[in-house]
Amino acid sequence: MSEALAHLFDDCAAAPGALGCGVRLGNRTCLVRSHDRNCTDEALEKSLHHLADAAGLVAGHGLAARRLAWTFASGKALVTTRADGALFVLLTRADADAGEFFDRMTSKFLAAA
Amino acid sequence: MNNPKKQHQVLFVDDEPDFLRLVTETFGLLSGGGWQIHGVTSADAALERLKYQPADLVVVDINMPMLDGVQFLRILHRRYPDLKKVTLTAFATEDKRTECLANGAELFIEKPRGTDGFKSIFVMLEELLTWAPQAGFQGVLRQVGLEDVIQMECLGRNSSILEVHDQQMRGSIFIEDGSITHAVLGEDTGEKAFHKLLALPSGQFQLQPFKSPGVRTIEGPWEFLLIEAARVRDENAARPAAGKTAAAGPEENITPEVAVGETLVCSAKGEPLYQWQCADAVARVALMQNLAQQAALLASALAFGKFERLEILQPAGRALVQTASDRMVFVRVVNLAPAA
Repeated sequence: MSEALAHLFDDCAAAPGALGCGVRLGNRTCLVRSHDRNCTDEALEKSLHHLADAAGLVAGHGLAARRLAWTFASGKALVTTRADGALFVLLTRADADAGEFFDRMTSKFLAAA
Repeated sequence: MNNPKKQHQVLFVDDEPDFLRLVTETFGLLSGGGWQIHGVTSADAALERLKYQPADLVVVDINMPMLDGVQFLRILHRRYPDLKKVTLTAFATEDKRTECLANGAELFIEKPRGTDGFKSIFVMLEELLTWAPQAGFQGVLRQVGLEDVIQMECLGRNSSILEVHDQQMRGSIFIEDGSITHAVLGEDTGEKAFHKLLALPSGQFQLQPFKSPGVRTIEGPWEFLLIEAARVRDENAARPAAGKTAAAGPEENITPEVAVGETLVCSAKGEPLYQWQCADAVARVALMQNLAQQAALLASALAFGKFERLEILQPAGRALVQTASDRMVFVRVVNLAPAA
């Protein structure tokens, strides 16, 4: 993992309601960091692939997205993609609003290309 | 002289004979003879019985073998839309509650534990039995939220006024033939008032008979209005207090200058029910179905529970996707003014 991504993951621990974060690179390699013991690395990896598939679907329907925000009963997933196909995901609790925090992390993620 | 008071016919449907015996004895005593209680152990038996013995209230266990309680409720509601229906369960979940209320149940309650539990359920059921529609509805919907009531009224294409109040403010939401047409809260009207009412963290509401407000301040599909209100509420709830209390409602400038660019509402099977400026409904339906599948996979992988919505933030607006057991909604809004 690059130093920039390691810093990004460290910073994500401070996100409101942080559960975990991860990056799926263009070659489908996943790098994940759990911030909650109930959020396993395996679950994070799986979710990265599903979120990448969904982001592809959205883009394929002509909906340019700078951020995707999935809301579930007990959790949220914030997603952004980079031009090189890399995907950055932050998972939080449902009652947390990490939108602004995620935007700041997105800037770091884009800069880490 | 005989007691002239009408005896309520109450039918309990539960696969546990012991539970049926218990409710017959307990509610029989609590009602002082005011209820005639019948118990059957299957959905088939209930439907057969209702053919020749009308009931005022049917109480259904939703965890029955063979025919699931929710399926039974759906059939019951289709055959007897005016019959009062209540679901009982030992395992209450948010998903089940939503499903039951959407399929005609007026109350979704947990099975009683102990004497106090039976008493409180008896009070709820008695209130439901004696409720007269023209008198307005008050205090029965214990486990139902404001949004649920709006949803039920709109799905049922009803006309009503929902009076909402907390300790500081009082407002009304007007629903006419299943459409939200007007809202008022103090000097605010329209969507601004609607958003503020739905953003109240707590309070009370009453469903009153409809009287025309003489004005229409809200247009558009109710699904979008609820999604937008939920989004505004979430944003405001997460915002720092900045000297305002939550009870003061959303901040003044809560409605960004946006316009609805596209709307599509379709059934769970993908049949379009309502569309507006949707250039390719088939493609949108396919997108929603695929996203619903991904949402289910995500919910399963992360144990996040029910999928509520996907917000797609775009450079010049945003889109919202909501999928539920009975329908899917896609709404795209565009910014009218460039962001400051």
